[in-house]
Amino acid sequence: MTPLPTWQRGMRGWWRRDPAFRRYLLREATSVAIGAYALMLLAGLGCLVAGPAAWQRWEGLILSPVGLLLQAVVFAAAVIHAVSWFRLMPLTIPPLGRPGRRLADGAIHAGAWAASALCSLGLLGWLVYGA
Amino acid sequence: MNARFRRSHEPLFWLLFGAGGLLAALVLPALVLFTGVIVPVARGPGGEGLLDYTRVLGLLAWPGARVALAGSIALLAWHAAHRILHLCHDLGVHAGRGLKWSCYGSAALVSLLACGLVILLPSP
Repeated sequence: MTPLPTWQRGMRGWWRRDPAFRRYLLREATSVAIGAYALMLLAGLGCLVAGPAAWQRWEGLILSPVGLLLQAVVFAAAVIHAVSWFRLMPLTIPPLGRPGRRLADGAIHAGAWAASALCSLGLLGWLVYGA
Repeated sequence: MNARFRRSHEPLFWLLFGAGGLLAALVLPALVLFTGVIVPVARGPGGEGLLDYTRVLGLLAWPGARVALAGSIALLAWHAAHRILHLCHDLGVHAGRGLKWSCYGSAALVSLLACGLVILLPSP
């Protein structure tokens, strides 16, 4: 007996079908910018080990117009990432609160943003006023 | 052992992806704001700035800061590697053994380099 003919839905250009698909791709694509920023930090660390001259070259590179433009892209990606990460948080963390009385999504969002504000202020305070 | 019941590596990578994602959501906007806006704006008239060589070495004199820096670079790399791997799959690139090894291998290499470099950092 021959298998029944089946029809396979084409997946070519699937993101064109729904704006939600494009939002999903945008969120996933933030990882490219985040990875690039991690490489930038790693390069800076390498230059810091190499000495003052190398460090100055790295600083000049990240503060050049191209470097600042790329960091603007990374900043936008980081904000999109943070917004989507916290918005999905009620689905990605284990249930909080007593059984039958799940913590409201709004409370989780508020807690996440409060933690983000606290960590960000702490980090900036240390980077600007530390040492 | 039967291949059907072999344990998956996925939870380990997902843990690193999640940790990096949480870290990025918590502090990455602030960090990029610092390196991209605050540093160029706060530059002094004599060219002295927040990212001067000795100042940065001073900030990193505390061992906790070195661990945090290396850990942050590594986690951001693992986060990006995992998501880029799945992004490739979504865009129709087969996420086979080769792509997996390149993505996670790059993240592992970045982690190793970050840990090694942070140990080699000179004291101020």
